[in-house]
Amino acid sequence: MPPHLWAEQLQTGSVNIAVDAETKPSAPQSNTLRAWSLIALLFIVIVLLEGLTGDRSELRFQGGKPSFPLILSATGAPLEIHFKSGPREELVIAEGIGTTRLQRDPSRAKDAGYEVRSLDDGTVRTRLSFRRSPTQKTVSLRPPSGIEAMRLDSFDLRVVKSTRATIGGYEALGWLVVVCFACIPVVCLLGRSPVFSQWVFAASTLTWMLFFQPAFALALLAFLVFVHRLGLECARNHITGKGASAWNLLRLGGGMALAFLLVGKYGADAVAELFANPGGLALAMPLGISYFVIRVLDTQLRWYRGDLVDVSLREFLAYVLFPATVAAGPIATLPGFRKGWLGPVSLSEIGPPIRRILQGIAKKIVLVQIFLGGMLFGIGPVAFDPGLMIQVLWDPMGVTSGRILMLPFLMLLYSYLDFSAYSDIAIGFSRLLGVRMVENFNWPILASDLQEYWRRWHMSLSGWCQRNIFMPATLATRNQFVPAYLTMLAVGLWHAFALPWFLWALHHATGLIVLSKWRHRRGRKRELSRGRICAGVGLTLTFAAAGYSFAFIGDTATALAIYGRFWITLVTLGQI
Amino acid sequence: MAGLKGLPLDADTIQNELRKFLVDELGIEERELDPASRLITTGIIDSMDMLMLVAFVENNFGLTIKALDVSVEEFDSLDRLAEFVLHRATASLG
Repeated sequence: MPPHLWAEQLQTGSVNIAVDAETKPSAPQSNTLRAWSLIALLFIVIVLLEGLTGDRSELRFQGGKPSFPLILSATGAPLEIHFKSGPREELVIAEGIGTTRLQRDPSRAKDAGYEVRSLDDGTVRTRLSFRRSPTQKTVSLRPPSGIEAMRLDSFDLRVVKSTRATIGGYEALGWLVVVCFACIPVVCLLGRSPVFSQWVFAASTLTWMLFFQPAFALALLAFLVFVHRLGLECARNHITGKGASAWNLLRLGGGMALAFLLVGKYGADAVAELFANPGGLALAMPLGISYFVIRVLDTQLRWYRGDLVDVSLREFLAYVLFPATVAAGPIATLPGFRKGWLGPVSLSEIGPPIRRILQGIAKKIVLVQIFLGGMLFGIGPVAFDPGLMIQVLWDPMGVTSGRILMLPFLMLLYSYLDFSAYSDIAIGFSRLLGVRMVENFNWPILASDLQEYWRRWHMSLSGWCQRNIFMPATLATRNQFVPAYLTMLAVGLWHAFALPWFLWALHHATGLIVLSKWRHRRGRKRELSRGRICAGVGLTLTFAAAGYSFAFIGDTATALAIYGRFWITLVTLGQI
Repeated sequence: MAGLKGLPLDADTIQNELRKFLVDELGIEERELDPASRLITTGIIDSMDMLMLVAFVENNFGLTIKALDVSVEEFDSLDRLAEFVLHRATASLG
């Protein structure tokens, strides 16, 4: 029954309540303890997994493990790096010291950072960095051409970033753009009713998925159909007062969604290695899997509360599979998606969404790929050789203070511009398809405190976490610390189930808690001066940038070294 | 903190009590508290404020709010929260 009807009944019935204001609910200590245990368990599992799978590359020489010093000849067996992890893109940092320089075989100057330096003892140090593609299994190293043989005294190797490859990669992404373009005239000409457009949205994404990832497409469709039936049953049970039954259905649906995510996102590496990609069946990570699951979970919780009982399968599929936001969001809610339906775009309205798409493409190509990509990674037409990030990764403890300070800020800027460019493109395409999509960024780099930063950064994910993790955790534990840690852990581990992201979550959650405590101690009514607001912007940006030491670097020791040196350098500068 | 013992329950009364609590106990300025002002999603109240608000609602309106009972939207404005409290308090009365 809608709330306003209750109010009307009350006005006529004059219902009184008799509650003792001093009665307090029992403190849910056990829930708090469970939440802390969950955080500890996550930490242990991550550390164990890192221990088991962390070092997925090894050196080989003449079929065995090399012992240094060794003699490498121009014509004999090379020193080989073998990659044992699944379909991943990896950034590799290596350093060899010997009688002369080392060279990749065949030499690939374009994608490799390369530095050669003569040391005081007469030896030569070679520093290398290169990207390993998902299909590349070995890399060979030899003396440079013209040198018959060399003595190699030592060789260190670190995989500093490892990213799961998605099925189809950029080719699939390109075809998704084609799918979006193809939908526009269909929706504009025939899509006045949302019913037709919703079928178009669901069918076009499923067709695209069937082409690139048929097994996953069929599994996802079956999962969505089942979850929709389950959800409606859950909502009906809630409305009819069968709370226990609704709770069981939520647990079943939520458990399935999480299992889907765990297998598809985190487990596929192991599957790929076990079955060695049988019959060419793509077992890399399905594109957009996190976004599908996160939309499903949001809707399931609404069903559990008795909302959205009128959602048809067609509307649910269109919401989850909306082609413009399949790859990288934004993460709309189902009520938001419904409310955002504006109908086909007219010729007079076509300008702003097209400008938004072009703005996103320009941001991605000019600022991200050419300018920041060149500065950080040494790639592209205006590349800095070997790139600031590569210089820091080679020697995080020895690199200059200026570089260690600059790197996290540039990484934050890179991430912000890169992701907001994707969001611009998605929001522009959404409008061309008749839907006003939620915004994802609102100038987070101008936030004057960390709470505001999180209200401006990746807003659709922050909102999702606030609705589905922070609020329930706050109510369950009545504790200020646990919900902050659980929420940031969810955000971090959503990116990757890895120790650096766990540390990133601790960094941000601790910052949020300290800020909240400070604000309450300071008192709410004191207005901040303009100078303090500017200082707040600088401090927030610095804190958020420091977190990028963990976000961009998969090697925990390297990430911690950069994080530590960043703060130490700042403190030292402050003292001067 | 004033109790509501014996007070007739309607949306306006609840909203006024909630507003009074937010101003007197949490120090929020009255001008920030329109009935539809978004409290949580715009940062008017933070996590610690929210804990205190939840405790106030439970203690003063005789409710027990479980983890998944309430959405952020229902706690995000005075009018939605008053509706939620009215609905739940009345439901608990039978």
